[in-house]
Amino acid sequence: MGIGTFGSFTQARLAIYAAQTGLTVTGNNISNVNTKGYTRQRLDQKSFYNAGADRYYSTTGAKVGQGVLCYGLSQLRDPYLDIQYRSKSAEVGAMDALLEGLNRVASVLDEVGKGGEITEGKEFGILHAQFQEVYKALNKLTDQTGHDEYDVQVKSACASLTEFLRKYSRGLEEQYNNTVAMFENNVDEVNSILTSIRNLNENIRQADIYGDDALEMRDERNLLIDQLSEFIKIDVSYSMEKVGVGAEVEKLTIKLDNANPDSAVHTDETVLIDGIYGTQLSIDAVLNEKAYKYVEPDGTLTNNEARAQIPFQNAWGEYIKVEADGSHTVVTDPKDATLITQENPKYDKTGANDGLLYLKADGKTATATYAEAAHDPNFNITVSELKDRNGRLLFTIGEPTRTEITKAEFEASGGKATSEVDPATDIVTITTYIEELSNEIIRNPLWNKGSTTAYKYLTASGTGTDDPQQAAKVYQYNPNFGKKPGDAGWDNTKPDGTFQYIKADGTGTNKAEEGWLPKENDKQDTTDVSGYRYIKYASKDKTTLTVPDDYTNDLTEARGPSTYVKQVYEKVPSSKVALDDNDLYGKLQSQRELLTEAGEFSSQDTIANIDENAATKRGIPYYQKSLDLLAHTFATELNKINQGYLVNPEGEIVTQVWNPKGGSQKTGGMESQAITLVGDNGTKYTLTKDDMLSPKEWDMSKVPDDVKTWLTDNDYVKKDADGNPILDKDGKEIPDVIAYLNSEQTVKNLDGTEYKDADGNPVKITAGTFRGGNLFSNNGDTNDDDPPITAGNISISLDWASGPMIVNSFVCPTGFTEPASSDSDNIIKNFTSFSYRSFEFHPDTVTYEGVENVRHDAMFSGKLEDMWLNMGTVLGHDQFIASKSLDNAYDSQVSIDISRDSVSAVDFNDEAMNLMMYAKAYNAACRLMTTIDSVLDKLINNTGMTT
Amino acid sequence: MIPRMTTTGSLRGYRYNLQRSTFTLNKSITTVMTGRAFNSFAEDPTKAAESFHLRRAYLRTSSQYDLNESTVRKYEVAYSSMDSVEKVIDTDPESKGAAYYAIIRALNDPDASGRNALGQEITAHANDMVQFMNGRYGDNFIFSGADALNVPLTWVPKSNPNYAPDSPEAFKYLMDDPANPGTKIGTNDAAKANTVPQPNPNYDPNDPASLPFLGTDGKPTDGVATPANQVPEENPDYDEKVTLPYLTSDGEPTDDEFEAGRTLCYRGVPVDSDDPSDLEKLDYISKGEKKYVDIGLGYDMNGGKVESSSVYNIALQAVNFLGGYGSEEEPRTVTLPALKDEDGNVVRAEQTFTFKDIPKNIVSITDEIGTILQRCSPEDGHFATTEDEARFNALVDAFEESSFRVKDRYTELTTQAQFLKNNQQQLKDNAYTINEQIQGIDYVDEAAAISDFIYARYCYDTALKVGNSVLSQSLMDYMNFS
Repeated sequence: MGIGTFGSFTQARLAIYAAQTGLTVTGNNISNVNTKGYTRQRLDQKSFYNAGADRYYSTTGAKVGQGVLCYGLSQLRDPYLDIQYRSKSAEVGAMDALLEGLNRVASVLDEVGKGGEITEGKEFGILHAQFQEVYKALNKLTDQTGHDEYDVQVKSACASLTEFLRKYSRGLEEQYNNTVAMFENNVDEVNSILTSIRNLNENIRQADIYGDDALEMRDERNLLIDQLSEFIKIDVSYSMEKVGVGAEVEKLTIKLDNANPDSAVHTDETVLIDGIYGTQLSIDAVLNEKAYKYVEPDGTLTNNEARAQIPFQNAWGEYIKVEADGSHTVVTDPKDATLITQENPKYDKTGANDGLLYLKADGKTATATYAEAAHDPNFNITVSELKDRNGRLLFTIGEPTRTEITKAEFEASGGKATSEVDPATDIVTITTYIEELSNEIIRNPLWNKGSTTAYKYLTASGTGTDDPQQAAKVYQYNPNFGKKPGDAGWDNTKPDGTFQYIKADGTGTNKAEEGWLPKENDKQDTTDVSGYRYIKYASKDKTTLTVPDDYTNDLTEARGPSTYVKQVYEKVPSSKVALDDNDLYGKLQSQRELLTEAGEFSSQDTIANIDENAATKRGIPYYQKSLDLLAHTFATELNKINQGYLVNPEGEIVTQVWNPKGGSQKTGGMESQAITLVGDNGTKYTLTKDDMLSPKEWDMSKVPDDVKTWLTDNDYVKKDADGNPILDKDGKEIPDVIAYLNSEQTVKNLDGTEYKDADGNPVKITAGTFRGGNLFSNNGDTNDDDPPITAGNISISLDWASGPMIVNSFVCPTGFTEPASSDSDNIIKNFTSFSYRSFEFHPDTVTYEGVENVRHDAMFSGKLEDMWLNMGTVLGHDQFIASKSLDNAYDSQVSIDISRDSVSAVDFNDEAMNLMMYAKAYNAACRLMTTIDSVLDKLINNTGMTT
Repeated sequence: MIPRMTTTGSLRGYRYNLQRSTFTLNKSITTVMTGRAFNSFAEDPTKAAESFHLRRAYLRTSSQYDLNESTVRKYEVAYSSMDSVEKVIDTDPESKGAAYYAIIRALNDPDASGRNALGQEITAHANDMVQFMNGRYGDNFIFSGADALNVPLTWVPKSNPNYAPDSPEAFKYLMDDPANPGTKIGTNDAAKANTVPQPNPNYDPNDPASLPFLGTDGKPTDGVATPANQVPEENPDYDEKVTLPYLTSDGEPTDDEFEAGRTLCYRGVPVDSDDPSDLEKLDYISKGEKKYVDIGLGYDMNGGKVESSSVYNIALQAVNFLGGYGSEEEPRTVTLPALKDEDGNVVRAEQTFTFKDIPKNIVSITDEIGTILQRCSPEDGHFATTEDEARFNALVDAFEESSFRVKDRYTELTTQAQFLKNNQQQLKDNAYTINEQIQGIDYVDEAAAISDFIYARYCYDTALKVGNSVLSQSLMDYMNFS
């Protein structure tokens, strides 16, 4: 059928409508050319064709479409480019955050171009130059030894050095704190984005259900996903979700994009958004161990006793099952063992800590508030449960497990479903009991639906039936109707004359539909089997069937026995996921690594259990610890060389002896003499400074055994602060040469006899003459170097601050008891060598609370200044690499973004073309309308008119 | 297929490229302004490290230059002091004002009448030398070795070799030893001494009338009729000489410091001593003691010890520059010829003397010569003894030999001073070379930097112009529906 006479008007009208809509869409595109995230839209049109062939149509007629229909708007996006963009975006985010963090570290540590006027070429650096100032002052001291003012100059140079170290340490601390704040803000930002996406998902879903394309909301969502991809590398997928019978809407799922190189880890695929359900990220807090009663099998603290069930093991590690009578049986499978609750030994049983689940930053104060809690040192991230806008948890119901049961069991269950919640996992187990009817039905092959002999009744068409309702109606007229008792034909067995009809029960009625009986089949043969649909299931195997015992029209009797089944479903609630160390990639992870990675200072436990690449990743802690190691080595080594015992020119530790004939005036005088210890077996051991490892430690491997015995016998043993002997692993006292050197001894004459003063009394002196002390301490108010000296606490010691302290020389010239007044032996040999010596820097030298098992292998060998230079170089290289990576990634991202724009962005030329096209189309449609109007006018008003 | 280039995409690409262009321009401006090739480790980690290495070397060289300069000054002052000493000990017989000139005169003076005066002059020369060698540079004594805070050479009263104040002979009295009853020990405290009856000095044991003691009344007594006066028990071995610490120039013990002769000490040790412990001290000071400084000779340590060739020893020991210490190794023999009077009679026979204790130190020699000459007779100038005369002759020979040793050292000092000056120049050259290297690494060639800047600005300007075109034209601008 062709178009109707006035159908052409509709055609023109639709064309006008389409062109106008097209103009509107084009206008919208032009309007949003600067709208961030806007995807250009396109009007979807199709030709309006009255589909289907007419039943009767003329072969000579032409079928013409009836105009144009606008059936929707669509966005032009390329999902592949979206994936590429978001992947690159994560890389840009990662490198940007890393570079930004390293730049902030560099703002503290990078001394290139600093330290003096560039125009004068004096950019010697700050710490670099200060090391040289110390060298310069020491060099001066070698020349001007003995003059206090030059000791003061060294002290001033060292004081400045310590101030710079402390300043740098504070600077790094500040950058660390800033990074923590930024990390917290970014986690909040991610949470905000996740919430927005989840809410948009809900709105889009709603719109989808109502048939709205919700393009603007999709744009907004895409923009948010782009933002999210900068923080976290994500995998975005779309699927269809059933929302009712036959109806489906699009569902967006966002999950982590498998960033963890460890293929065994799957937490890096954690779902962040699942349609209308979304998660939130949180930084793990430091838990208050005293607030948790139990420990889960994986070591997690909990107050849920059900989660803390572990198989019972005896002292030998065997699994034990506790029998009903209380006896113990060893079992091999842990599953067979009796479960017991694993209690937390640190739980505060007074209950004072109950509810105070976290610790504050001071590591001592408990708090119930997460916001007040200190962050986990590893800044671990936990992904929350998936929840919808109203806080409802997402449950996932998997395929059921199916078990056949007996009929008795089924009947015992009553066919009622049950549900049970596992308190350890919150998983709901739903059990249903089902009777499954058999598909085996024994049909009667002789069954004749309309048999005229097998059924009790006959239908109006004369076929047999068992259903009285389908039978022909035989109306029962009341013979007494209109009569009185006694009238002719009155039948006392029938109703009185007021009723026209007789019901089946013999009572009267005036309703015709009540006054009938089914038409009886007077030809019914009760032995005729064709009246039965089925053969009873119980009789299916009989060779001879009889009517009616073996036949039935009841389906139940013809069906085989039912199967009884128990189906168990697990309704699993969405749960928290503690992310592995490397599950994230992007801005968030880079900031995390800036806060946690210590490179060579990483604990071996961290490398083994948390991040296998930790030793090569360097965040702020690496630079903090490197600076600490530099400061510690500087202070400790200088402290060490500034302490010792007076020696003779041969390096033998000396004591004072009386030379009665010595001295310039022949009056006798003290002279120095090397200390030689004689063992119980007569072995002689002369104490040399080479055997002294430090002022507090002697290399006892150099001491002959019998000398050791002599030391022990004379109570020259290692003792603790209270003066009690320290015992070795075998419980024996530890001989100690230092103890001897610090002991009081009576002065001897040169010939070995005891010297006595003018009053005839022996004179006591310490065996060795100790000189010097700590130049640096961990606190300017003391001389302490324990806890260890770090960049944050390095100070000039109290003693040095109070006066000259540098030991110029330990060497007493031969025969003298004191070093020469301007001898600079110690300065030139030890202090000056400090500027030339190569040190090994071991990562485990400075200990930190909570960090154990750090590698001992030297991370760097070189001079002190080289260590400082190395820090700058390492930082520079890391910055260089991050900068180039960022540059490349950003370049690629822009390139991909432009490609994306080539698909999705608005182009004025395109839109101008569209404008022209739709404008022309509009004009043409109007022209069509005018033409139709014109021709119809001719047809209506002028056809047949004759002049 | 040609990708669809959209307005938004064009703008995005333009914005990105303009950003880069701005960055490059800004970087080139910074380079021109600072003149530096890099301003952070990140820009060029390798060059930055190299630069810091060179800058460290530069600062270290500067410090070594300062120290070297100070050392040169010290050596100049030392040279000046030695120059003065050298003049004093000049063995040119015509060198007036020198000690040797006076010595020769004293030796050859026909009537010897001026020997006392010459002796005083020569003693003064000895004093002068000590003063020269006790000179300071800054606050440090130059010739004190590693003991620069203490004056190196001192005159101390000549000690009595027999002085033994703790020996039994040093006590006037005896007392019971409280630690060893029955034995007696010495004491100088009369109150603590044992008491004995005062002996009668006139007691004659062969005279029955003579009484052994003096009584409390001062008269002889036997201690029975009149109690004897109790006096401290005297030590029969008492020898006053062991109680006197000094010797006069004539060799007599005395406890008067001002009356005593004098001995030259270096850092408290007598330079002429023969005592092994003194010699051991002087041996160490003279040969073993070092005071090193790092003046850029390539400081190096080997086995925990500083390589002596990599540092410079600035310890100048006065004894080494004054001919040495102790006595000459070989005894010196002097034979005095026989003296005859005008009549040819032998007044004094030929005598030969052998001296084993002639000092090596020129100051000691000079001083002893002065002392001997001052002992000469003021009347006729004769030596106090023939031994004096012989010793005088031995000392004159020793003086000459010692002066050669001093001159050798003087020459050595001159060489050292020259080495230090050369080193000074070397350090200066090093610093200059290092600075050149730093310039090459740290700083850019201005012409290149400005060219780069001009080019960057040109690119930027061009980018701006391109931007204007990107934004201005599209089909929209040409649409016409009229």
